[in-house]
Amino acid sequence: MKLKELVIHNFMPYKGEQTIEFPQHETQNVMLLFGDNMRGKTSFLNSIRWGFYGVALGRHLRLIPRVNLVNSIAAAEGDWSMSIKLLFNHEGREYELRRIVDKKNHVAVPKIDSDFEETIGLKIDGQVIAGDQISNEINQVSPEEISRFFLFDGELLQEYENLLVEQNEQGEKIKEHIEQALGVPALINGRDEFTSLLKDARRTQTRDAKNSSDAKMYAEQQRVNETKQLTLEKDIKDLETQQRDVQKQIDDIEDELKNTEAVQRKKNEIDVLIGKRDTIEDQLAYDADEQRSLFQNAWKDVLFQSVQPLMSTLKSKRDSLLQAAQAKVVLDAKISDLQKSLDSPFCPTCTQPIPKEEMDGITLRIKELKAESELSIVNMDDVTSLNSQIDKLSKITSSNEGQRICELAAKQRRMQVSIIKIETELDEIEQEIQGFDTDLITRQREKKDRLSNQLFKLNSDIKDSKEQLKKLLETQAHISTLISKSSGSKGQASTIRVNLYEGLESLFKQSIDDLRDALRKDVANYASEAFAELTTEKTYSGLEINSNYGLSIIDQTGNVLKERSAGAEQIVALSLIDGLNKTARKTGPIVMDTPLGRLDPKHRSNVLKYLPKMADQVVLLVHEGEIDPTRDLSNFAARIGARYQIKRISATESRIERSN
Amino acid sequence: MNEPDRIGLTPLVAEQLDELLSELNPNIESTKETVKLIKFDIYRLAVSLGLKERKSPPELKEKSNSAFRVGELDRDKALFTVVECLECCPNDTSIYRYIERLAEQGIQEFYQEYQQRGELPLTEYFSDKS
Repeated sequence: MKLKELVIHNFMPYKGEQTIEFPQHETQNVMLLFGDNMRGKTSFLNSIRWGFYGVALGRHLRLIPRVNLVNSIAAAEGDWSMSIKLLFNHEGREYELRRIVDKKNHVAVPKIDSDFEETIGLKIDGQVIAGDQISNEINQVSPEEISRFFLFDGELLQEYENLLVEQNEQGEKIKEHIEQALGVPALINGRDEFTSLLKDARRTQTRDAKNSSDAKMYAEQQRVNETKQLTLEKDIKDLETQQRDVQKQIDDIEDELKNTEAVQRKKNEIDVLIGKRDTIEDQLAYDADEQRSLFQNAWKDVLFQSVQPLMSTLKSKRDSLLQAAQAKVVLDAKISDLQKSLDSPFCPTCTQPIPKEEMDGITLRIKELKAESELSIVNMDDVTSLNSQIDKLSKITSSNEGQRICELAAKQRRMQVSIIKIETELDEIEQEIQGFDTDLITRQREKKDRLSNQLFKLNSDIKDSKEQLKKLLETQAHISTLISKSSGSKGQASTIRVNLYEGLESLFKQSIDDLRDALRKDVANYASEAFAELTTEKTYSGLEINSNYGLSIIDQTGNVLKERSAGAEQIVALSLIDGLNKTARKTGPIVMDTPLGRLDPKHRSNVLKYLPKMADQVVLLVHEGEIDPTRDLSNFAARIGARYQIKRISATESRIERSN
Repeated sequence: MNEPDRIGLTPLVAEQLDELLSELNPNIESTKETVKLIKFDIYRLAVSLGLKERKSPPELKEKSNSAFRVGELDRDKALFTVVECLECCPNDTSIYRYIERLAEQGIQEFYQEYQQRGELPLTEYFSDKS
């Protein structure tokens, strides 16, 4: 099957009519549809799914109600019609499939699915196909059960990791889907049919055995076991109902939490910002304390500034006084020496009398010196007083309190600016998440944890009950054999039927195991081939499949790799999808939504090289974070047959445009 | 000139000092110990800044409340000595009365600055070392 054209009308964000042509070239078989998150990539995938099968799937594979499929702007304008037209060819025949819904005439505003009327039309090579044949024709081309593997949501890749966990509820569900797609149910239904027939036959055999003297005791045991079996089956049914209910509650909460992921991220940002603000506020309080402590002695620092010039003046005054006092001592000594000459007017060397002219000179000199000495008289009390002042002023010291206060003030201002910035940011974030109850998110997380514990307990109870039932059935089979061998029951019609159904049930059981083994082998081979091309680690020797179709990586020593990175998980899941797809059908397109989310550049490059080989036609719905149009496309530019871009018109409207 | 034993502020400025103190000290009850300013700290700073700027404070407009003992306020007579050495005190005024005037004027200015700016212009007070 090869898709040719898709015409979307009023489907989800795609208002009005939009036409997309798929690449038809054999080697240029990749179509790229770029779109940011929330623009409509998954809606595009759903448009194809809905066109083929009339169902659109949301998270956890839940059906999206029709009322949510109709473009909300068109609906607000009163246009509740929506349609998908698919043109494709298959085995040389041209198909035109058209699915339309519109609200019923008598309904004013539709609320539930039955408020809409659905019409479907199919033409093959221009021939109109009767309504009751359409579904059958579509399933001939592309069975709905396999659609999971070719209309593929990359975000669901993570679910495939659950296949590795035995007894995992989600894993079991996926296994069921896989087996449905691979055709195992045909045999499972056959086995169940014979199990049911065997149960009835044994009941009849037990009734007959009551009349036989040698089998009477076994009949009684069988009757008691049958009652036990009914009770156990009822218990298991009830437990499974509870399990589904709890799982649904968990899924609902997960959906809710998924929708509030951005809010939770913002809440975390708020917590980080509040933490930063608190740290700054603590520092501010600490600095304010230090500032006050400095402030207590700041007056001394200020005073110290005033005192410095004063001290210089006082010291200089004191020094002048001391110099004057020193000079007076020298002058007085000179006067005293000269006075001695006047008192004894003879030369001390030659003892001759000193001439009168010279004596007059000495007298004059003494007069001059005395005058000079009088001018140098110093009051030592003044010096003492100056020293006292200098001593007192010296006690005024500074530890640069003022400068440190200024530094702290500048630091405070910077921190206050930081706080204002943080608070502005906090206001903006709080405005963004206004209306979301962040406490409710926390409560929901706690509730989910409680439910997960409950689910674990239920799973364990179901496992125990199933084990008990298995043992009981074995006992019943054993007793039934004993009845069959008893002389009274041999040859009876009920015993013959029991033996026949036992044989057939056993045959079907064996066939299921054989088919499963064969299919698992095929899936493992295809997946290993894909894995070898996709992985960047060339020492891995391959993949090993478990009973759930879960794949483990085998390293070069032949051991199972215990720890796998998110990227490796995605590669393994992609390999599994490829394996399942190739096991389930021979040809057909693959439409993949966001398949490269968790991959590093090397793995991405490998996947991009491999994808064109996965199918005749590959449609990739990607955002520019997955495939960088300027860098990654060179890897497989030659394989791109068409490139489209989803353009945002508004929050509820997008348009798909062809790009180069 | 006889020096007084006690000096203080006019009632109005004393109220302003109280208000200023409550603003400058942390207003929340904190579990950990915090440093708290007392009236003396502001009073002394007002006098020191007045001296640094060589202010000529006018006489008090009202009678002083004489709230502070001079012996406590100026324990080692540093303020007294500086005023004495600077010889800035008018002849008809005792040194501590002059100091009282400087405090009255300075605290009033602190209060006005705080009212206008919401904070004290610390950089102006402390950065100019001239």
